[in-house]
Amino acid sequence: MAFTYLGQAVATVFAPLNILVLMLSVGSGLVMGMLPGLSATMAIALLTGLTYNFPTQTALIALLGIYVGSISGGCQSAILLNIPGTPASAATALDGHPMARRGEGGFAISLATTASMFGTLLSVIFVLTLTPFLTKLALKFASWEFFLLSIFGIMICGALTAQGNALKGWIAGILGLLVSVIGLDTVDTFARFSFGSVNMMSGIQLIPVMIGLFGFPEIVRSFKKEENPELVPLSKFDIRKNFRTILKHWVAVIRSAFIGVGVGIIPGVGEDTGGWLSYWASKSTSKDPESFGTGNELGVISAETGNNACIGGAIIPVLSLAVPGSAPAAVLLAAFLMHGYRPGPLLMTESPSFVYNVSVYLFASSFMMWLLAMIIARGTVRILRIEKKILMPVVFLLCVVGSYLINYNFFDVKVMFVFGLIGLALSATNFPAAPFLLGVILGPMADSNLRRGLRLSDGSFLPMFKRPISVFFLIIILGMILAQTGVLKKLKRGKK
Amino acid sequence: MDSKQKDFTISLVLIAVALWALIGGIGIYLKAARPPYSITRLSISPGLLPIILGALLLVLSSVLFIKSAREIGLKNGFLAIVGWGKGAVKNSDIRSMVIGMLIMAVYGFLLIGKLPYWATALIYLVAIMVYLRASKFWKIVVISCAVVGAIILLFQVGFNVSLP
Repeated sequence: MAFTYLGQAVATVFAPLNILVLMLSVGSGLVMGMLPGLSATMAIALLTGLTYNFPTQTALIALLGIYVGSISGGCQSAILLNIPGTPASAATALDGHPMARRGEGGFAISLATTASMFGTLLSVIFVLTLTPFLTKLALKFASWEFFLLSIFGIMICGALTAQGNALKGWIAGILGLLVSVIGLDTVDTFARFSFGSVNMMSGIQLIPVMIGLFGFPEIVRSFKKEENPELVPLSKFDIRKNFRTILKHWVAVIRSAFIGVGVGIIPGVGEDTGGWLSYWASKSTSKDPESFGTGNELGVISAETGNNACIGGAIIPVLSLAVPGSAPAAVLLAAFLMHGYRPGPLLMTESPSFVYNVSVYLFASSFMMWLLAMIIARGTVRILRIEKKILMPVVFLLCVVGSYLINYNFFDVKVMFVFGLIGLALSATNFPAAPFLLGVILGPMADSNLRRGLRLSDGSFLPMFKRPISVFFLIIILGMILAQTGVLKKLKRGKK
Repeated sequence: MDSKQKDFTISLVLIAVALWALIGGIGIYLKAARPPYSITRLSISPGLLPIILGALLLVLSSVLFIKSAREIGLKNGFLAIVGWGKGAVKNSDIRSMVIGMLIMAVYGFLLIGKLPYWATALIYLVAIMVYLRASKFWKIVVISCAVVGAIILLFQVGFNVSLP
């Protein structure tokens, strides 16, 4: 049956309209990823609203295409400007930019692009193999497990994205959860924090929140008086040399893919962490770690394979548990829901072909990304010369259109603006936006499952401590709290 | 403002939000206890999660407040807020950002929907780019017309959707 689904998905991709959409979405993703300030999350969030009227499969191709394109496109500005286009490419800049400075900019970009393609391709294997396994496991989940899973997701995301201050990550997660309770609750249809507004009663729409949180702060920051950074010219590159180099470092490619997928699966922890960890792993296992940061090709390969492998990794929990593995995957989850899919434990029963469709579309997107990036690299880098003060006001127009088109409602434009201000405040005070977003997404899951569990147990929390999977989650959550608050360290010191 | 001063300021805001959520949650619980809902037990009340979240936020933001207040001192913390306010008015970057946001707000809250899309978008783009001195005036007008035309072509003609 799997081969039939795969065959159908391949046939869908090769439909002329879908090839055109794939080309346009991957191309737009490359451009958006390349432009500092326009993140992958924002790119998908903007496109989600625009794909509302698309046929479902075409919309999926467009969304996955822009995801792959935007994560990969970030390397171009990282290498030529030393400014990562997306946070995912931050580690690439460390060695990519020194390579460009010594006249190997073209080679570095081609290497990064090829490594990105391999990262995504390898992660697809994990999507195909791990998703059915996780889905089966998730069928054993009941209300308490889902409640604890959502809390675990927000907590680990908060701990890993807050740059050493888990407290801020957790606060951001709670704020997101608070936003999610606005509107009619899913159990008793009681209006919470709605202030009598019909718009508020229907809850806060995810897409405007995402556009506001991730897009708005970048737009506003571009209004500062800053000089444009120096752009290193693009040198010629040889594709055969590029593949030979990748093959020479195949161990690092596989290792980075594993790391990327692993990081991607962890809720809310995104492609940037995947890139950094893969870079760090290659550096620490290298015989010549001092050369990293001075233009080592292995640094570029590892970082780009790792961040792109996160794409597949982040999609695995989306499909099997309805828990996003990264911020862009969170938007993708919202987009899947908007297009009528219900990711989660029942996905393989309700829409068995979906996992295969997603895998094939990811596969096709990574090939298209490589092809486009190689062909149009010379043209697209010119885009990096566009003044931010011209580009960002235009991006705001797209933010408004993207928010409005979800429901054809002006209220969503206002929601986008308000959450933009919240996003600006969060970033100005060093609070991560990812746990906030995850809180908004997982809030309904946490709320409805907690109350359902309590209703079934007649108001008792005791069943939570009796179920093995629940206990497993409780132990991890407790361990995380103890580790992040320094209690574990104190205990260890006390023993010594 | 350094990071500790920022933590001090934001923790005060967060404490206020936490109290609001907590009081709001209790209000929901009390309201849900009355007919037609008549949910008298807190454990199954729609107010349960807001109360838990409000309480958690209160605890965590108090920890953040205490930590930052210990490092910079209570008095210095409040003085930093006043000082930041005065500095922000003089800071040209902050002024640019605030006025830019005001132009965006006028477009998003007041103009949009009141006039045809092409007119509102054009007014907004020209206004903000002129304010930011993005380019020469004639170039700004040409760029704005081209962008608005492209958006209308793509969405209204291409995707057949109606723009705001």
